[in-house]
Amino acid sequence: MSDAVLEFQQVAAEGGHLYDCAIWQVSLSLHRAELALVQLEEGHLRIPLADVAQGLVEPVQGSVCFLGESWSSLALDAKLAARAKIGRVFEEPGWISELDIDENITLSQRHHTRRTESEIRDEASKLARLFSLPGLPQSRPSSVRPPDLRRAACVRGFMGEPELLILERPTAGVYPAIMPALMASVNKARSRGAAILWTTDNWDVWNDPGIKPTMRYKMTGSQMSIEEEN
Amino acid sequence: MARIPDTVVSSRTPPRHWFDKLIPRLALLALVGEFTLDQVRKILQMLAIVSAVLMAAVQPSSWRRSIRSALARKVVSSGSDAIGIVCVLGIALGILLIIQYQLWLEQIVQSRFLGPIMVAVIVRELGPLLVNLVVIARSGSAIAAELALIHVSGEDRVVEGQGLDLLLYYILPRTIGLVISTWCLTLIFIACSFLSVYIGGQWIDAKTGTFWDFTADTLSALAPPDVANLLLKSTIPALLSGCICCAAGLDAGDTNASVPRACQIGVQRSVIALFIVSAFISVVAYV
Repeated sequence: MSDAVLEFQQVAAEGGHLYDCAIWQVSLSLHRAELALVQLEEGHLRIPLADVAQGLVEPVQGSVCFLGESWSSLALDAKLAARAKIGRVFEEPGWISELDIDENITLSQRHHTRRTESEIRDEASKLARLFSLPGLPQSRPSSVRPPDLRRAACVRGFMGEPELLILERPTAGVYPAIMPALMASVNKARSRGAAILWTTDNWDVWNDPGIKPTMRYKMTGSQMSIEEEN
Repeated sequence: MARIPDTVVSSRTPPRHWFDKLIPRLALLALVGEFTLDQVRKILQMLAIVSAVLMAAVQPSSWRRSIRSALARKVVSSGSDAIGIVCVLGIALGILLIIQYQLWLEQIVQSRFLGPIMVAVIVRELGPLLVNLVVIARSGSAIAAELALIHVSGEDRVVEGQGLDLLLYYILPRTIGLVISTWCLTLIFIACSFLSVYIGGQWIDAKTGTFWDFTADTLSALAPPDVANLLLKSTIPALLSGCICCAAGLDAGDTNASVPRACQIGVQRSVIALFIVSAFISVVAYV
């Protein structure tokens, strides 16, 4: 059994109404403390890569394994428990509209853990301050400015020390201001062994020497090719 | 172009087999069969959702704090926020009843018949029926529209992506919230109707007796089947409506145009289920 945190083997997934294109024959293997940086093609920013990685979209071909288990072989409860170990900065709009931002941020921890409310809110507040928010936003996502939404999305993604982080264009609309906080969080996560899948359409992020990715991939249409492996 | 004589055409046409004549009728039969199978499939699907909700509802592990919070929000939105309209309807129904009572029955019966009439009309039939209709129109349609929009916008993916079960997060709190709300609103409706019957009766000088006589007459007219009937009629249709509207919303298509359709389907099926279930419970309880 592979010790990869996330493994794609010749995966093809259809594009639905939520995506700009499908993915075709994608293979990657992401181990502990590794970071894969994926450059998205202009006009094809919404791809099912993250949803497939989380087992939300069933591939039409190939298999996806998380922590050595194929998503297709897991029962529903096991799938839900496995997803709780994944932190994700969703592509916008990635919010539950009936909840305030602070409720959105703490939802997963409140659902999956027995941590006290104050403990969860303390962690969220610390992360919020790190990402230059004055505190936990307590209003609906629709009434928050897009840059603050992006910062709050990062706070939610890093909550609870996940084993895999999926960052879908985390710098969109907030580059370069968010980079110091984002890099500090990413480096901290990597140092405790979390694997990171980071997508971007920003050339400055792609060329940023501070990110130190283990692998660099480039999307061309629905195909992903490896550009560099360290 | 030369015209082919009719006789030639008819002589070249092969004679119709008796089976060919049956084809249109068989096609009609196939349509009826297809429709029937489709309806049976929908009913089975709905029963599967209802049983899944009931099983989840009785498991303590389903009620994590995130789900409890969602339930509280739904009870407020479908219950507390509807108290006003239910009170108005209850008072209006009470006034209508006491006026009719005064017009038709005053000359021939005594005031002690008012209680049984109130129980028969309000507790047994109109109370649960009207409150269920209000809840379907007000909350059922909102649930179907909300969940259809959630599906179209991909918000359900955000919930699933965080490891939450769609059944637990969306369907369970909405359905159980609707059941709790409908039950409480029905009691409020009945209380408002009784009060308005009494106050209206005093106002138009109907034979209601004293308040304590009126209350005693009404309560003594309540039999165990009435209580069971009230409990079942204010919970089962609400349970079905919740499941129907949630399913209609989450089964909606991928475009915004499917949102109104989801509302229509949800409300239409909920109303049908309400009348069928109410009639069935009445038959079982009283016939």
